[in-house]
Amino acid sequence: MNWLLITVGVLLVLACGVSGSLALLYRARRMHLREQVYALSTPYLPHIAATIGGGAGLIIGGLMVFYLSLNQQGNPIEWIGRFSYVLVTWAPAVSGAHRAAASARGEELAARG
Amino acid sequence: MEAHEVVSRLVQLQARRRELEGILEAGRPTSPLVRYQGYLYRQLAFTLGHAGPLAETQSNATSAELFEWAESLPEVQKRLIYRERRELKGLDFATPEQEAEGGGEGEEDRRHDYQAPPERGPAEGGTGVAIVITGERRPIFRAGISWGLVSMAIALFLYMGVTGRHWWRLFNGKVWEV
Repeated sequence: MNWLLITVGVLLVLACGVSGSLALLYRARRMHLREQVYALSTPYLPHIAATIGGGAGLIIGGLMVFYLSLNQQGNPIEWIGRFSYVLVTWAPAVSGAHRAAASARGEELAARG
Repeated sequence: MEAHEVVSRLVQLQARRRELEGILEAGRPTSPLVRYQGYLYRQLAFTLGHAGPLAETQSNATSAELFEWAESLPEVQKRLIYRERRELKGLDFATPEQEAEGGGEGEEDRRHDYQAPPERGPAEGGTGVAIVITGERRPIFRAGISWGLVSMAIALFLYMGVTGRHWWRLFNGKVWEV
């Protein structure tokens, strides 16, 4: 374990975080465009998507770095199994983002009366 | 070893075919049918639910035939089945029992007490450690190769730059304005 390996690990975690945040931002933009048709708007939608997506991406990146540091082997079967953790992390993140957006939208509609 | 297993299996199948032909010709089963007709090719099969008395009986019945067939082969082909015997050195070459040094302090380590045979040459410092590679697993990162890590770090840095620029444009875009 040298400083270069640690740097690569940190960069990998950060890249996963940025990727997750960007993916949920694209999803939020599609949702926002659909809402505009019905004259709806969700406040703080990009902030919600960017935060939750970034958090999920950081967790996924951390898992990848953890397993790479645990044993640096290239067995594809093991990595297919470990990929399930990515799904387990990403699915609640997307669901949570939708719930948070729905909650914010409900508060906005209640404030309008 | 695999060739031996294949040949043994072939002989067993031939014997079983002759037995079934005899049963069909007789019109009724002359011997009690056995449920398990498996083939024992691993000793661990005994512990995994494939207990093999039937297979063993089958092997004993055909082993003599297999032996006769193997003995009738030319010498070159016979050598593929029966490997050359390993010449044992005898008791005179046994490693003499020696007292292990420093056994009372710390944890015991057999590698420190190992003494290589004379034909392997003198080991450095009187001790030797054998490294046996038991698999074909390929490590992703190898110690001593830093250029791979450097290129990976550069690629990740570029990827983060491009993705971050996209993220910033999207986050601060006019699409969010109502």
